Amino acid sequence: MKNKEIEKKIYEEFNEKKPEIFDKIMQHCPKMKDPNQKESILDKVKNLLFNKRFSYSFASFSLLLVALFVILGQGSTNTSNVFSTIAIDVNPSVVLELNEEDKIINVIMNNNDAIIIVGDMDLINVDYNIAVYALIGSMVSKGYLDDFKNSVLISIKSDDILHENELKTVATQTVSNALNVSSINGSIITQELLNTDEIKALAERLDISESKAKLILNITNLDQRVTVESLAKLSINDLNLYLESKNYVLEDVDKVGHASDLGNITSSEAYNLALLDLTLDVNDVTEYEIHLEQEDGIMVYEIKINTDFDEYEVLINVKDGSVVYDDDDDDVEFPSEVLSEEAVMILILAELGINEFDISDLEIDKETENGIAYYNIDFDYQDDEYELDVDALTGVIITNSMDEIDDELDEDDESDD
Amino acid sequence: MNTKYKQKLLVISDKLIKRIANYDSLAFEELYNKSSGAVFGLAMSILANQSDAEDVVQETYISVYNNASKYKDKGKAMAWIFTIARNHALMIIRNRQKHKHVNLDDSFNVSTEDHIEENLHKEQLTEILLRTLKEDERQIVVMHSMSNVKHKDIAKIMDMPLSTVLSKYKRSLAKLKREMEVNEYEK
Repeated sequence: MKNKEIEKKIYEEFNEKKPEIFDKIMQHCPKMKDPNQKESILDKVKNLLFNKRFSYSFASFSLLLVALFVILGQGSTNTSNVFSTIAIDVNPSVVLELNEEDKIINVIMNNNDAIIIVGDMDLINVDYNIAVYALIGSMVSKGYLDDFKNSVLISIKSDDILHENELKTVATQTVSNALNVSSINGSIITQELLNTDEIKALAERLDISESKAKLILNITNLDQRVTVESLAKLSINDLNLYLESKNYVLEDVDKVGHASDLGNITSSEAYNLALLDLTLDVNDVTEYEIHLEQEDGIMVYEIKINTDFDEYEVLINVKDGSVVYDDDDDDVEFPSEVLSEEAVMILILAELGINEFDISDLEIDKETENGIAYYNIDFDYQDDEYELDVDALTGVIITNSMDEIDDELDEDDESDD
Repeated sequence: MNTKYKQKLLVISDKLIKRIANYDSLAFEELYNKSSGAVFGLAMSILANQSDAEDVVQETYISVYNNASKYKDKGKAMAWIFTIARNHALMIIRNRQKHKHVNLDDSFNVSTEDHIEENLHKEQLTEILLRTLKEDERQIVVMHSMSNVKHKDIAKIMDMPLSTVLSKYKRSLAKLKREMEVNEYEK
């Protein structure tokens, strides 16, 4: 009998004998509630008013709203000179134009959601940080931001570069504070706002804001395996998840917090769904890998499964667990006129500052995607396992990840007779 | 997020703990269903008594409820839960020191008749585990068998060098294997 079989039997026996006392435990957990039973508005107001953490902020926010809720219509135009611009993208996309004193002189609502968010607020001549706070509060109260969608894209430009940096810092902090009031751990992406002809044309063609167009253009300039069309379909939160997943290093883009994945199924749930789709038994799987990817604007888990006899790849929609079929023609041949594996290894080891004699378990796969040839390189170095995608033409590292080495299977294998 | 996995029996995500911190009862139930066998197994391996092990299970999940918002060990939720369970079990041991040692036959509340009847068939693996291994060996084997917690995290939980945990683990499984052959243990 192998060690794994013994462990499996121990696992099964203790699970059979475990006590069924969950109901008893719940009697000691009075705050637990079923998330499917929605709170009434009255409950929400009660919770807000009687929660000490919120009392001060809520009072300030209420005063602010009272001051702002003057019915004067949706935004207005102002002929004063625009000194700085702040764009806020969630799905609502609002642009605030400021004068030299950082007072709002114009509010641009890029989509219908933005019209809903701004509502009756008159933001003209209001300090920008108060307006940002109010807009984020409105997005929370109208359900555009919550624990499941916690990402905000802030894009800023100013005639004064020092002032632009200050605006970035203050706006980020203001958004963070506004989200904290509602107990949301937000994630805020900040970038410089550019209005080049290329960005304007892309925004118009894809019917997205110029801020979002700038961000996805920045991504596709680094990673040409993805298209602007597919990225444009992602929400800001999904774009944020995608950025985290790929570990891209983008110029002029900063980020705080982590994108929420609470609305997604877990990777282990996706793995089980993949097994079901492939009609594979879990005991037949020798190894598997799961990556968060996007496929034509849909966030998916890309699951690669190995058995003793075959290799499989399945895409599972992270939202609903359905199987996504890849329509792309992946059979493009890996070109011959590219950097050799040896040349690429020399480049990346030099860039990472790693000695070639210190790495082990090196695996290099040749891949193509969207017409781009790249090497997928795995190796172990010290206690970490590195995985990199490297452009086969230029040797540029497109994406990289580093995980602790999982030594479990090796130990088991050693122990097995 | 992008992780290379190898087959594991139990994975508890940080996301699940975060949902519990937000008092999501469905998440709490999911955690209980997934992990209570492991918590029970660890408690049994320390206390060798079903009634006390059940108390540890109850106290462990109440502690998880009270402390989920303080959970910080990213990616090591099960190790965190094991640490809580172990602390509760060790507290019971400390209280027990005032009393005489509990007989291992109390395991699973097996009555004399039941035990005789059981012996007519086969000894259960968990009973072999309790009889054959020392307490620290049982903890290591149970934590590794019941979850995805790595040996190096088990070493941290038990405040032992990794090399000691690995050698105890290998030696314990060899002992179990021998004992199961003697008992002609079959599924």
